[in-house]
Amino acid sequence: MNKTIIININGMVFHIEEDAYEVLKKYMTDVKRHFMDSADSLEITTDIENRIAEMFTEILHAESKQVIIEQDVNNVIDKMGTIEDFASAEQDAHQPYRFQATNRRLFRDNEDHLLGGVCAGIANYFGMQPVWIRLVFAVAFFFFGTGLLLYIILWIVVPRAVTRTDRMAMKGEPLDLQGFKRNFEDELKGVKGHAAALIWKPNPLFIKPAILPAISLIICIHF
Amino acid sequence: MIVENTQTQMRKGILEYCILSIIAKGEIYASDIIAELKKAQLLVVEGTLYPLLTRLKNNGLLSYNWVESVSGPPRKYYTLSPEGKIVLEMLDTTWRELAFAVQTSIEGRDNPNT
Repeated sequence: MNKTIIININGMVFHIEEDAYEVLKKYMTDVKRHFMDSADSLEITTDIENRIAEMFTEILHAESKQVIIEQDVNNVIDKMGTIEDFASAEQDAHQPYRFQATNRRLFRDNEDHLLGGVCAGIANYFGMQPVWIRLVFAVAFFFFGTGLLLYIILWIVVPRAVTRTDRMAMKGEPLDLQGFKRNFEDELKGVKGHAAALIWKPNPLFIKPAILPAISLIICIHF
Repeated sequence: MIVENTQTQMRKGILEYCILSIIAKGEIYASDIIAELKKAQLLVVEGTLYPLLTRLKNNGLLSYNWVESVSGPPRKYYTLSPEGKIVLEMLDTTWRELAFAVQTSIEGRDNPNT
């Protein structure tokens, strides 16, 4: 006895077992992500969904049963092809997409920050070391506090990189399966490194409370 | 790697030509196109065909009709547009030239395509 879920694929209703649903859902998420950068993404994924719905109907009819099981989903995926198949088939047509995927987005980096992560975020955007951006802001600060004002505005305006996707877009990593895997592994390494660093080095977080009063003091002097 | 790349390029070049040729035989459904391509050992999985068809359609070479189906959602049946027919004729010429070029080039080699 297994629990089934009722799903709707572009207007067609299917009963599908829970495990099978998980496999199908993961596959469709991968497919959608793969075609995400393509202008025709909706049309292509709808075509694929419709064909999957049709294959399900054929399977149910051929085996005169009512519920889709995991094996059926795997068979359908075999026929349709995996993301790796899509990627290798489009190798050269895919070049412009890959270029788009490396377009970076500006976020505040909440993992490499002194204050709000604005400088680290900008550094990520331009692929530089954060220290140079920080230096520029520090120097600009001495011109009537321009650096500080700009920093505060950016702190308010620029969103914080919250999700993994944000962090990857910030560093210009491709948003595909390999990219996610790499990003995750890097993060794991980073966590290990941080754990080691915590033992002997104060985290920038602890410096923050000391910096804030210092800044307010400087603001008072300036204005 | 270089060999693989060349092979991919060669296949890709003729894939669109073959798809257009298959569709030129008459109105056809995507999964029947796949069946033909499988028979020709050109393409094995269906998913790779949909982006190609969408691109050919957006370039004005194909058009499609929705046809009601008993076994699922309505199906898209593809046909060549007038522009597609012109392109296909041009590709026919190119293919003959290519076939000639390859045939001439490999002539006299020890065992070409045995």
